[in-house]
Amino acid sequence: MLRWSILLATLPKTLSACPLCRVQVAAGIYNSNFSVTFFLMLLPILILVAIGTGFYFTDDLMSKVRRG
Amino acid sequence: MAEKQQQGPLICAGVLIGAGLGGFVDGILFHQILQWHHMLSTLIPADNLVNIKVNMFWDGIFHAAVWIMTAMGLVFLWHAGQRRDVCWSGRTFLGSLMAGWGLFNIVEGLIDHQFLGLHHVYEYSDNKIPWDIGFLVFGIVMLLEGWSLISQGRKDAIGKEVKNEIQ
Repeated sequence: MLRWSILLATLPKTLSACPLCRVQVAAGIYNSNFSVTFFLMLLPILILVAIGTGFYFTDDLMSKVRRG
Repeated sequence: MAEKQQQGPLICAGVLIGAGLGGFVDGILFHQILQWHHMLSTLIPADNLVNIKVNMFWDGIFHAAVWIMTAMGLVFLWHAGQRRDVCWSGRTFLGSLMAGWGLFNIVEGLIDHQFLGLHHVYEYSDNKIPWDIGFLVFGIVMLLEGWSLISQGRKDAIGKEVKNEIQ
């Protein structure tokens, strides 16, 4: 119990690691480009998920195409 | 009449998991162990602590998305395993994993390296093109090898259809 209390008491310090550069880092991340950068990060993954998920339906689509 | 055996659901699961594992290889090997690049290392060079931490954040966002894609693959794999009309073929699944990894390299390589120029495979070189090309070539080879295995796996599906027909 004592150990957990000590850990919890020290947690805020751990969360605010590197207090000197924290503000600069936050400014570098949460700027006016945040939404665009976020979208660009996810773009390849979105495309891969679309391609991968598409395979789930290929057999049904192919059989429909064959039937006309 | 025997049920037609499908490959699609297993390919779907394999491609998503393979792409996810390929993404983790990129992240763990190139971003963390070798530190050849980070997600935005061309735009924000990793030459000071603040820039490295900003890149680290975007690395984390990318890897979180890769984790979700892998988890989606596991969900599809679970559903495929419960369907009687899906042929449980090792060749199909292994081929899909390889194709998924290859697709990851091709899609990520083309979008992030070539079109958007967010980063390159090896940032600490004057000529970054050979490294980027190597990354793409590896992806193409994996995709072709994977596709070949998936085609061979179709025989497993046909074999199971025949077996079911006899029974």
